[in-house]
Amino acid sequence: MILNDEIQQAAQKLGQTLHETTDVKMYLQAAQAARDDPETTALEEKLLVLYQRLANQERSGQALDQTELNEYYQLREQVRSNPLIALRDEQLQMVKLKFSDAGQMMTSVMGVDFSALAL
Amino acid sequence: MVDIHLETELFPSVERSAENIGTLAGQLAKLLQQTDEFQELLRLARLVNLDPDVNRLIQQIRRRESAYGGNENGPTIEELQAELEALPAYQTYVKAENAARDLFQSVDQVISTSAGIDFAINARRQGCGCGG
Repeated sequence: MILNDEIQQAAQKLGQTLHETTDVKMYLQAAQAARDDPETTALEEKLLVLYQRLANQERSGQALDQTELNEYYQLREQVRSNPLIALRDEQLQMVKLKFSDAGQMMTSVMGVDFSALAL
Repeated sequence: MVDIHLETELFPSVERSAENIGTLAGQLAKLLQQTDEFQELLRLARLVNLDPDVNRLIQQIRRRESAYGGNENGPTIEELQAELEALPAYQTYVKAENAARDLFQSVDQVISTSAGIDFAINARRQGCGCGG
């Protein structure tokens, strides 16, 4: 949908102001650092592949293999304790708080949940 | 030793940033409120809320979905949903909601591109995670 100039500019200005906050800058740096580390990306990729395989098995009614389940829990623990991922996720929580305040302001002005309808 | 000058400089700037985001979000919301899509959504939401058939079907669907209504005789949730979706008042409302959704999604895209990170999905209010 093509937005009118006024809305386009107001949305851009809000986005740029959010981008300039310390929370967003720190999150983007942390996300980049996690992406740049091959060990970290491989670990996350491995967890995702295993999760999808287990989810597909469950969806198709197959019994889940206990060894694979244990592997999944171990991998998940490794991902959680990876310092780059932990820092990225911690920063993301800060971003979410900031974004949620902005979304709440929009919702209170309009009386309609902006984030829910925009998804 | 903390430089008192630095301290007073730092905190007002943090406050200004938060205040600024709130002001900009409020301004954007006011612009969205003035659009035809939003006004039409409000008008049709009011109408659909007054429609007795829509209300009856929504109540029946909710009762069916609740723990107590699952075993009742009568139409299934799918049948009730199909009946609801066939009502002209509901169809018109859904069309208006989709138009407003298109508008909001386009706005979200602009905010997200400028921010460098998805806005709406990260702006959703989060539950306590306690399963309640």
